[in-house]
Amino acid sequence: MLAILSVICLGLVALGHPVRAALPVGEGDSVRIYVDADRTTTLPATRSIELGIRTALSEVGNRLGGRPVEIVSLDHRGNSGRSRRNLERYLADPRALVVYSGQHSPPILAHREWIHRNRVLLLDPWAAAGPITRTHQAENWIFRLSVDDSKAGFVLVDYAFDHRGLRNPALLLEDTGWGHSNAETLGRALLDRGVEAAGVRWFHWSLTEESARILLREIGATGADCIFLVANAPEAETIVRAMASLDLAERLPICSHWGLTGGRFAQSLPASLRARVDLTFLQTSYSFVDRPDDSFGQEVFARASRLEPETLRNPSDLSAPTGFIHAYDLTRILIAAVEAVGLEADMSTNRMRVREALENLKVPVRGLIKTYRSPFRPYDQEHPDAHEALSAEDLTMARYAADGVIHLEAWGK
Amino acid sequence: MMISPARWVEGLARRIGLSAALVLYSGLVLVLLATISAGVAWRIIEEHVQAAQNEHAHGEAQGAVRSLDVFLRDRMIALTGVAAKGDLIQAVVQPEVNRAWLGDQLHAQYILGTAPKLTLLDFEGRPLYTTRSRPRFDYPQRVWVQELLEGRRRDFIGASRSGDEWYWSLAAPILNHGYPEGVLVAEFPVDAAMFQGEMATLTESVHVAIDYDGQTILERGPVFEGPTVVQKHEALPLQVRLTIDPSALRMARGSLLRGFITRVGLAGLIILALSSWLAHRYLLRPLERSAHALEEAERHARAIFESTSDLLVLKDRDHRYRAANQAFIDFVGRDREEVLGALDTEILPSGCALDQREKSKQVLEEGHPSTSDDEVVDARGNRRWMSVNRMPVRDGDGRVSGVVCAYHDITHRKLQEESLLAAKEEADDLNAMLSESIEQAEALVVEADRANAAKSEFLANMSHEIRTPLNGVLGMADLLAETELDDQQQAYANAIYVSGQALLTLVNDILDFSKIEAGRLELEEIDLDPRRLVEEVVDILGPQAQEKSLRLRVEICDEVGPLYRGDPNRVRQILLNLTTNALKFTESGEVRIEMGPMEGGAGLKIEVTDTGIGIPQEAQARLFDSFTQADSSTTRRFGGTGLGLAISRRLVEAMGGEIGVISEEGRGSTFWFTLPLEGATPTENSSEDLSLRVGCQPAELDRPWNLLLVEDNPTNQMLALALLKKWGVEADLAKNGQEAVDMVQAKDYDAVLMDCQMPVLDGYAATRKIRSLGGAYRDLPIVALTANALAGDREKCLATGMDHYLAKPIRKEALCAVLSECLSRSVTIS
Repeated sequence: MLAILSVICLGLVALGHPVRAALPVGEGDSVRIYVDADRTTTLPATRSIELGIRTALSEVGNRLGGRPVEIVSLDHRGNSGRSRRNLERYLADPRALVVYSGQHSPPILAHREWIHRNRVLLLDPWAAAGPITRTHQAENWIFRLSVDDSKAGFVLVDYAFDHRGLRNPALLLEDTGWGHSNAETLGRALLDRGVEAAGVRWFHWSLTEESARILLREIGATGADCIFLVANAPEAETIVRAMASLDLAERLPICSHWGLTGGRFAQSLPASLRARVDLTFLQTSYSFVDRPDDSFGQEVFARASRLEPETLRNPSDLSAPTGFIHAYDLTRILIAAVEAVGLEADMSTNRMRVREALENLKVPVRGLIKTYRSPFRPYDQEHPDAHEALSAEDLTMARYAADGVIHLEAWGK
Repeated sequence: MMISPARWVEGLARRIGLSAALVLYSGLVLVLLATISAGVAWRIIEEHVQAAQNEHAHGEAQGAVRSLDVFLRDRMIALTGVAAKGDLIQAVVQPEVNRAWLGDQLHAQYILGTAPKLTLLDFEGRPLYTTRSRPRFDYPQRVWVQELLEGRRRDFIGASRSGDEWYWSLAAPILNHGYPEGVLVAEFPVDAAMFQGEMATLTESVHVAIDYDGQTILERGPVFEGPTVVQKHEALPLQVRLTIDPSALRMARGSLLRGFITRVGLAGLIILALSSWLAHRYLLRPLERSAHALEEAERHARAIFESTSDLLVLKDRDHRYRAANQAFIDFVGRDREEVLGALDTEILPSGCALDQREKSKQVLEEGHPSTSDDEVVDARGNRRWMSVNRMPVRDGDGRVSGVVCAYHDITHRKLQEESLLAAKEEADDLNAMLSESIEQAEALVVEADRANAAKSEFLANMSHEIRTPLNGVLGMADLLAETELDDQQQAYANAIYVSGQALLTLVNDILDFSKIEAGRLELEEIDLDPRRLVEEVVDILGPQAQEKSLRLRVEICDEVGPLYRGDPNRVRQILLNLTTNALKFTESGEVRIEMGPMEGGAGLKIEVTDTGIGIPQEAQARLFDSFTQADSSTTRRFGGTGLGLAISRRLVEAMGGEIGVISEEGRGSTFWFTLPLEGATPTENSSEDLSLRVGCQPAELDRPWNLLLVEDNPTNQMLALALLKKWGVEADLAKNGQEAVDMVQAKDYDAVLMDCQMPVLDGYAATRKIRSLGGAYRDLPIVALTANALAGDREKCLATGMDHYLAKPIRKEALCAVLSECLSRSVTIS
């Protein structure tokens, strides 16, 4: 345990860090796992991801291929340029094996071709944009264990139409690559049911409540009966606030992508305010809170709470739980892959070997969401889901309870 | 040849006239003054113009810095607004998005009407997009860019050069959720745009330069050699230099001076004209007139000097003759030329010359005029007696400068003096006798006055003496009426009583009047309640009015004060007189008493109006004289002495007021009088403690009262008796202390109401006498009634042996309270 050095670098700026020369790395040298995420506006999600990684690693004595593991945590603040600097740093580090992404899709989308070209082994436990795991290039270096927007849209539409009986949804999305990819999926899902969106509205980050109200009224004027929302926590918070401030007759149910769970949404909005809005959102189908009977899950949680004894006592203490669940499952898959191939001295070789191992994992890996059998396969354009560990069956909808804890909707899918 | 200026001016004045010389002089003074003023003004104007220009330059420089500051701040604020736009934030955090879109965004940004060059820098300070034709790449090296990106600075304002052009560089951070993710830089050309407002008024004569960080970034206006004003910006390394054209200063100064000289010159001419006119009108003309008058006076003096037959000479301090009239020249028989400048000794014979010289010398030394009868010898050797008057002559400083001697020939008079002296002695004797006669006459007048007073005194005493037996007669008549009489006897007794009563009234009036005549009227100065006064009169006369079916009405104006200082008894007497008269002479209708404030001073005006017979015009004048009624027949019809109005008039006049009547025959009369009285503030006096027991009614008691009233004043008698009668209480009356002492021994009384000031025997002495009778008399309740409401009176009364003390005017409640107490005590002793 003591051998583990968990170095959290709150790198506000990546500038000034000397790029390390590729040094020969010995057997005893540590392996570094990078986390390039937004530690500013979506800190809870990022911490949840990191805790998931650490919990899974703790099960194997914090060693990978017999070498101690260090976690290097970098903050890109949602800025693509900054994320690029972080990834460059990862590439320059001769001990860096993989990099975990955070909640934001745009930084990955902005650099994904560069990532594949430069062989950045990127594990995505959260960012949901559809194109992230798809590429035209020969080698696909991005693996995801999370919601895939190309399926998320369908899940939202199924839920709204089949479970809630809603018929005339409007779309409200952030004006980013992520938002656009969701608009496309949602459009297609609606088209399958022969429906067209009542309206589509876009917003930028740092949206104000007044602007949000204007958008909501515009949507109300289209005659929509619900809103499909694609937003991260800060903007989702603003939009829900705005919705709560409208008259009851003007308020519409919101079926949201899960981006809003990445921040301090539940803590920032008082329960009384949240109670005024009918809000459901996408989640992967595992919950510590709703599955007290699952002994495996309870054991995992007990391990996690030993790592964070001060802040983590009950499952309800875990904010942005999906970050933890996905990162934990993904890290267990990574561990299995490393075990399958072992580690050599040269890290760029290790990255290649681990990527291949991930695509060809034969042993089943027990996770929280499910037991993964061949979670990833070699990618080509005929198999667009080859780097997706989850499928539509693993997705469901959820709500915040008054105490801010996420409960999955009882939805017979 | 040298000419002194004074002489020259004198000559000039003589040549051109005094007026013209004066004008010339004033003109010269003015020119001199104007020249000096212009010289002084030159310096002052120069300083002021300099100061004004400096101040102006400072103001302009400050204004320039201010407008520059406003210009930059405004743009900074606008730029910050643009930097806060969501799409720019997104553009910075996701630079991978469409660049063309970003370009359109930036090109479309207008900041305060201008489209500056905008450059968007990313999180490392590298340009993401710029609207500049040639992007700059040195931003990451700029300290301020790093400071903005690290959150150490919220904005930046600076100037930078691009080629030959200078630009204002303004920069604001792009904040995402409060964290700087990029920078928006705007560049505005350094040009005239910022010189709107104050700087727009700059003229050709000013040079302005703006320096940034030691480098001149803008210059305006032609360059001058001259004083420069520098104004620094308080925060930025920015300063404004302002230079004012010195030739503008010179021009301003010249034009100001020309204006000054023109105005001063004009004003000078006006002053010159005005002063010349004034000098001519008020200085020269009176001067000429007085010079003329002087000449005339001299001629007159000479004429007077020559007109007398007396000899007149004027000698100076050296005893030399300075002037002599023809009479003197003739007397000494010399030529005028010989006399003037000569000494006494050279003109007069030696004996008298020395005498004259001595006497003149005395006047010259002492400065007093002197007179003497001297023997003087004339030219023909005749000796003449002269009365010589010597008057000192004084110069402007009051020093004796000479002596005038006037010689009057008294030779003839001297001869008559002997006989005159004898006549004068005779006249003195006569005068002494006359003085003696005057003294005797004066003594006689005093005697007569005294006799007159004695007469009145006598009358007063006589009246009093008459009153005593008359009271006896009345008392007897009263007693007689109570015996068993037949109708005729009853009628006779009544006649005796009524006649006696009339006689008593007449005697009382005469007594009162004679008291006034004898100068024995004493007026009190105590509290006077006008309302109570009228109330009392109504109380007394009400029954009388009722008897005649007349309405007795009272109207008191609100402005009448609550209390005055005066003699309430006398005022009541006047009012009773007038009201009694009114009732007497009115057969039907009403009598109205009106009271109001006195016009034109503090005091009261009281009117008594009736609807009676009225008074003929001719009778009104003598109405207030003694023993007069409107018509002698009136006496027969209505009775009365005719003294009432005369007494009223005396009383009113004694109080400083006026009395009069307005009347129309057959319609009625209004008698009015005024009383100048000082207002007084109501205070609680020492009898108040008794008056607190308001509400007790003597009538409630189980047996009738038996009181003795001791009072000399008839009005007060009437008043007190009327009051007591009102409560159903009968009281006997004693008119002085002696009567009271006699009466208490003749009959048992429950209480005695004792006036203090009375003739024969006063209240104090009477009380002492009653107490000295011993036995039950020691406990007989005696209540003092006195107008002396002074402190100490109460103690004096109680010390004498009285039981209570009531101040007059008697107040119902107080009297009632005291009497109740007396009665309850008297029950226990009887």
